[in-house]
Amino acid sequence: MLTSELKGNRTLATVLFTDCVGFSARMSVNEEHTLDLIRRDLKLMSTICTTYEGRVLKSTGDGLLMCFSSAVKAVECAIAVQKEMAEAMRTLPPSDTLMHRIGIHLADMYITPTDVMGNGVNIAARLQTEADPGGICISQTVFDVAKHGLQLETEYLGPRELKNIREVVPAYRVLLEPDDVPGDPYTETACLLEQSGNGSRIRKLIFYICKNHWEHDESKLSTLSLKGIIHEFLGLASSYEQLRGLLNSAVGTLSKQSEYTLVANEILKGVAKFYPPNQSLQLWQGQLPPADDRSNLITDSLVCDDARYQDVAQTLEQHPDTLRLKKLLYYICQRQWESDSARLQATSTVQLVQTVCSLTQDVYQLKRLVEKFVQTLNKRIEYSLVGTTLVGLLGPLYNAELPENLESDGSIAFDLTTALHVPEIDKLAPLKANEPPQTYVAIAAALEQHPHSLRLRKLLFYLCKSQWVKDLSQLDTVPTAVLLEELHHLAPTINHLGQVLNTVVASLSKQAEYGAIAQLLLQAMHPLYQAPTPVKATAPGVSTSIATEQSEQTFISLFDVRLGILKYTNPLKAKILAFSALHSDFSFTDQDWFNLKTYELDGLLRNLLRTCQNYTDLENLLYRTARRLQQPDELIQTADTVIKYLRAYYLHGRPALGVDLASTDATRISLDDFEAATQGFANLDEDEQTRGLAPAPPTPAEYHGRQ
Amino acid sequence: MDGNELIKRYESGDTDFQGENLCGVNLFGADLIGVDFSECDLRRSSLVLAYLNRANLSRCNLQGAKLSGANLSQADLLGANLQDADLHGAILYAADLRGSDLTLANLLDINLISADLRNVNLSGANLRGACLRGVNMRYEKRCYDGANLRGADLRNADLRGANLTGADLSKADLTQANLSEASLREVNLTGANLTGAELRGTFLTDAIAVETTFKQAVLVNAKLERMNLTEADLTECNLNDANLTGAVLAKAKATQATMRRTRFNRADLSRADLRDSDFNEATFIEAYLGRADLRNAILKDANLAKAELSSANLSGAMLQGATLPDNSIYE
Repeated sequence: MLTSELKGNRTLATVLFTDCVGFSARMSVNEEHTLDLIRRDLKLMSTICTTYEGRVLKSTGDGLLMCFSSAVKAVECAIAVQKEMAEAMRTLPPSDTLMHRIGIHLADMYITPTDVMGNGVNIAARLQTEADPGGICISQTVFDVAKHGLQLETEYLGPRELKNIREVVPAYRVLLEPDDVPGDPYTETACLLEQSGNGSRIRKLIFYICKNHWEHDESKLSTLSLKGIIHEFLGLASSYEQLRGLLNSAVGTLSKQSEYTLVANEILKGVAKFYPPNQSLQLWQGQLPPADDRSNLITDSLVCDDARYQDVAQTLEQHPDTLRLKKLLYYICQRQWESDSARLQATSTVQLVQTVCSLTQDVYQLKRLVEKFVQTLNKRIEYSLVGTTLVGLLGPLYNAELPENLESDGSIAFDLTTALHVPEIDKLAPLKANEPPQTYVAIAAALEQHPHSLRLRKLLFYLCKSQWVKDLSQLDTVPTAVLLEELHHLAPTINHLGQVLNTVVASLSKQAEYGAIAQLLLQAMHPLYQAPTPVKATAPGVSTSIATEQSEQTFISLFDVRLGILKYTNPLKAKILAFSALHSDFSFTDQDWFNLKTYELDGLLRNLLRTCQNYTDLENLLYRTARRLQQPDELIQTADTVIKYLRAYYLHGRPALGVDLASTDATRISLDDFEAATQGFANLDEDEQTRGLAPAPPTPAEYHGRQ
Repeated sequence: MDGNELIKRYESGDTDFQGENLCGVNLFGADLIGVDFSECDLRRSSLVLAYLNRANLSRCNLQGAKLSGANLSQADLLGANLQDADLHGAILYAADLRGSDLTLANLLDINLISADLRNVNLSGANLRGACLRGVNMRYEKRCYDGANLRGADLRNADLRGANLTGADLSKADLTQANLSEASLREVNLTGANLTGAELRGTFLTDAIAVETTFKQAVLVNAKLERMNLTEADLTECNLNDANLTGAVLAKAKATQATMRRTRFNRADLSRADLRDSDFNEATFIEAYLGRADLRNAILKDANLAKAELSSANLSGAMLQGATLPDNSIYE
């Protein structure tokens, strides 16, 4: 029973892979909408597959894996799918369609009810990457078999060297035009742009915008399907304005700006037909548009007013933290980090501001967008403050009232009644003196006399230096007053401080204890902030615990994580590990057993996910815990498995893992493959030397040998 | 014999302990792979975190024994007595538990993947968070009675792909459990609680679900032909693409449910409360809707050919494009 379950039955089959073009890029621009689109497309493909007597084996998230017993039917199915997609592209706007690639191969492979394995499968997967967007690529084997059953128009692509495949695979491109798919607007646009004198520059620019790097190799560019890349490009923006913004910011980063401005104008002219006719074709060059140029596509909240952009840009440039603000802005617009200040200087702040504004329609979207990008950085604390400042500065551009509590979402609820004697301080701005001013010294003294002074100082040190003190003498090297000053500088308003404290405490293991400490710290520093305290509208009797975004989290299905953990490790050990990490070390007493039984593994895993904001934190927490307990070797193995299966959650992000991606019938991809597919989602690193957020851990790399 | 003695004997190569009296023995974390404990008396013994892979525990008495975290993969537990045993977090992968008695046992977070549970008595057992994927509990005529899970606590359990044909799940608690693709043919779900359960593609053909709760459950693409849902509670559940041909939903409560493209052909929906539900493109051919309450229901493009609607309450219902019983289309 076991072997057949694992290996499946060996059989000759035709396997068909589909993949969505530019899926990640589309997801980063509009996640929900793209998910709707992919669901719709995958459902359509499943239906067509069943019509052609195929079987959908699994979904890869942005594509399907199908298997057929007839090669002819497989090719027919692929043609039907691409025809349907092309049909849809003719009638729907570009932001409502996706393009797909299809690869087909025929070979002997192992098939189980939910999966298929074998070299042949890998070949099909690689063939799919060789196909054009909206195209089909088949291997020699499929061609030989299918040509007898179909009238196939093909183009021989020659023997292809496919990644990780030993032998060379001769491949064919199935030709769909012109008989099957009569003129669609993309082909027309592609032809039009192709014929222009600037053909190669147009390609280069569009490629640059889609892929975020510059391609100098002419031959590579010429093999690109212009139609496909145009569709990808159009998919990145849902309005003409956004498109213009994208082109602008891209051109702004180039050296030959004037030449490429002309190219961009040409592109805009060419694609204008995809958008309603009452649009201005003029490239935004910092000139005021004519007053009647309010297109239907611009939402009411976004005001196209040049003067305001200039104002905001100026304010940004005069801000003390201008370099970081600009870096963050650049990052959001270009999806790439730029540390070189010269290049940053060269980029027009106005254009960046405008691009960001065109990407979002209201202040909340902007906030979410900024947060999303900040989450991927290493210096999260610093940049979350920068992000808030940015949102504050750009907010007025949306014509909506910036709500007062915009910055205080999820911040701490104060309880001002707890006694912490801090001397009354008159309105004093923090001075930049060599010696920390009286105010800080006074607060420092109060903190040092507090029963929890040690923890207070540890937390303070951690906030300022991003390093956890192991050696208490290290704490004494920096006077508390200096740390307080630094912290005040880092967080100029009480809301900022609240946010910073939230983020940091959430990353610690002893959240409850340090939550209370953070509370004390907040109160102590309270007098430093002159503004009247924006007390959150909570009931007075509310507990003083720091609220993270728990209530906003959608329900996550952990069935697959649990399955993985149960398959590869002892569930009790996993529970003991998680319990020890979250509460107190398990010591095998009756009381401990009793407590452990009150928790389900599911609940403990959810707590782990809530406690550890990122993958590194999880690793640190679990390995540290494992080493503290009895028989650490076994528990480290358990930790490995738990981390492996929870990793997919961190890589993919917050929303429900797996639930949305599965189609109704097809089974989901196994978690191993999922990880491989989502490697691209891993955190971005800054170029500069960054200080890690976690306390100095031994390198987890030692424990990774088991993979 | 006490624990240490036993382990010494085992280490010296002796694995046969058949019929021995081992009451209360302490074998915490012991390595006893392949040991033969058949017909032993192991009442109240401690086998916590022990390794009993492929051990023979058939017909042995493990009443009240502590088996938390024990590894019993592929072990033989035929006819074993596990009443009141503690199997918290144990591993029973592919174990053979046919005919064993697990009444009131604690199976919290247990791994029962591919286990053979035919004829097993799990009534009142605590199976919270358990994983029963691929488990075999099916009823076989003259051979195995249906599994007994009366009143069992299966909250948040993973039953994907399990075979529970003919099982008795009356009054069981399956809140938030995942039963996708499982086979629950002819199962008895009387009075069971399936709130928020995941039942995509599940086979519930001929099942009995009288007074069962399916609130907020997801039954997309499930097969519910001829199922008895009398007085069942289907509030807010999702039955898109499900097949309820010939089902009985008399007096059932299905308000605010989503039932697009669901098939109710020849179903009995008399006195059912179907207010505010979405029946877009559903088919009701020859269905019986006597005194059914369809106020504010969405019946756009539904097919009601030959359905009995004469005494149904349709005020506020949306019928655009629906095919009426006399085969005309509602404009």
